Amino acid sequence: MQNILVFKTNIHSIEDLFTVGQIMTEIGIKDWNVDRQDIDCVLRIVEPDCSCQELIDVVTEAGFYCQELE
Amino acid sequence: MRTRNTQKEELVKQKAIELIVKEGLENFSVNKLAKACGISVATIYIYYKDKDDLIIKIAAEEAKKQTESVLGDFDPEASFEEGLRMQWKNRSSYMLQNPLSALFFEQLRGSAYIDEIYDIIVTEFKKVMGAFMKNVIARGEVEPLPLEVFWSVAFAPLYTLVRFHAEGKSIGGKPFTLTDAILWQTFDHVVKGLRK
Repeated sequence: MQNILVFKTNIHSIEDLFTVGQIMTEIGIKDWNVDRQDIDCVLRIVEPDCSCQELIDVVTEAGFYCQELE
Repeated sequence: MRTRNTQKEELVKQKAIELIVKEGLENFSVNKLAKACGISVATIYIYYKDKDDLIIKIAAEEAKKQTESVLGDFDPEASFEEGLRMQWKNRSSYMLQNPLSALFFEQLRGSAYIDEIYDIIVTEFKKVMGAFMKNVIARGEVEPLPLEVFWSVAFAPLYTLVRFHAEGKSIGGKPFTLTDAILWQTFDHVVKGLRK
């Protein structure tokens, strides 16, 4: 059973995706993707080593909106 | 931690096919699907990476189900008529019992997703039907023909009849229901046309 976290974000463009990519690399997350076709630009992370809040913090620090998707 | 729920997973797959058939691929979204299932968008993202992943995975599963149903009991050593009859029987049964499945693949046909699906379907069919055709040609029952020529005569009539039945109408809007009599009468002509 995999631990999967999903967030509502405003990660829209390719540049945004690139920035997020750098963040994910820095915090050591390998399995992630953003569904930019979705209205919520859903950021999906598999087996994160860090907590939900840590992820939200690090993504918002980079200037994005990031909220846990209910 | 969000956990998997097989019932929800099945509901998601079923509703996705229904929505795509009813409203088309372009109008399909994970949001709409979540609403139709009465679950949260987040739940869907437990099972699938994104919309494309969802569509491809669901299509692949449908394709596998169909392939197993059509090829499951098929004997590539059978005579031409027996073998083709079995194909007609299996394919018509599957399509009539799973009307949404055929319409779902219609929707996918013009899309970017179809190439990935083709790989899954075609490999199995090539193996089994390829063996069948080799045997049939070796026995001199049928001439070697280009694939499209063979398929257009061997199977297109069947798919047309099933489509007429699904629409309830045939040529020029004439009301139509597919019966065994019509199915097998068509089949007899197909066999006559292909047999050497």
